[in-house]
Amino acid sequence: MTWIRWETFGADYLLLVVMVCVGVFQFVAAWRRLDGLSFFFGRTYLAYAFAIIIIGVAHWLFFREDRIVPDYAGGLGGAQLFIYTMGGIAIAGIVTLVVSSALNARWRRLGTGSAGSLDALSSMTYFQAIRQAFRGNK
Amino acid sequence: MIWLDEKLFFLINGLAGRCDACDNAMTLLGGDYFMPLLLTMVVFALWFWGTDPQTREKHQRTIFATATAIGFASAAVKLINLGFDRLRPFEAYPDAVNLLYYQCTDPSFPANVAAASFAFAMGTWFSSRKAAGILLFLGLLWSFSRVYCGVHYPLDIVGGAAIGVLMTFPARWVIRLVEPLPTWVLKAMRWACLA
Repeated sequence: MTWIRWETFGADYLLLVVMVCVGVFQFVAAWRRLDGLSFFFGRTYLAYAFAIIIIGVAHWLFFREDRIVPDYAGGLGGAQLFIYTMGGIAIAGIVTLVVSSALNARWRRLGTGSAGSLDALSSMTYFQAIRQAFRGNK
Repeated sequence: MIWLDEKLFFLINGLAGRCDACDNAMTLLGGDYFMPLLLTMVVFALWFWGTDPQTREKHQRTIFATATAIGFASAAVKLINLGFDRLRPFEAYPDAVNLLYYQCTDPSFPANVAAASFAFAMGTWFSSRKAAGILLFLGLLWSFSRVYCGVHYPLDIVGGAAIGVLMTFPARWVIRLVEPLPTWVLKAMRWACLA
């Protein structure tokens, strides 16, 4: 049996969820043309490639060790699994919104739409959208 | 019926140990981490599904109901486990089962993985047949791999699936009952450009 770092099992799973979820966010950004959410402004093929690579690497990192671990011996139980998954999605969401807003801030084409739904992210970064939402969508 | 269930179990579990690649794939699919995350990511993608806000809102409401259904299905499995304890195949036939997985300590019937995965599939059925089809396929694969790995009988899967499907209805009812809470949440998320 492969040596397992029991004390980091939860952290390993959290990292898996965060990386996979960041990949899914990029896939969605490319598929729905949400340029403000993309790390690769308009270059959808790069976003798809990034999504596939990060999801693949995340799985490789996690599953390269033996993960057939009972929840009574260091593995994650159902409730923990739920908490780590929700936490991972939240962290991935924050990472995606911050990084995409920072990367796309210099693109002038963005920032011309109006906030009020997810569709705003097709024409502005998240920071621009949230600023507009606070100003009352003017 | 039990006889037929066990016969079918040994037919499927008998496939284990013949091909290392198949065993590795089934162990991965039947594990606690790969499939739950994959199912969650399909439902997560449903949040963005649809080009107009109305369609998207329908899917987003469905996600609330699906999450509730999964919670109800898990609770129902726990309740049944309190009064009904079927031995796992590897406990009942320790020398005859090809066990590819660790020895689970909870009762065999009903299968919690089937309850959860069918709640995933049935929950999304009401807004997207395509997503439900994908989830159903993944759920069937997950359930099959659990039988292959020697931790569940086929009847456990059928029982779990029935619970997953049935729990969708009270979950949808509860989501309607707590209205306008889901509407407020969606409005707040739309304001924050997240829905």
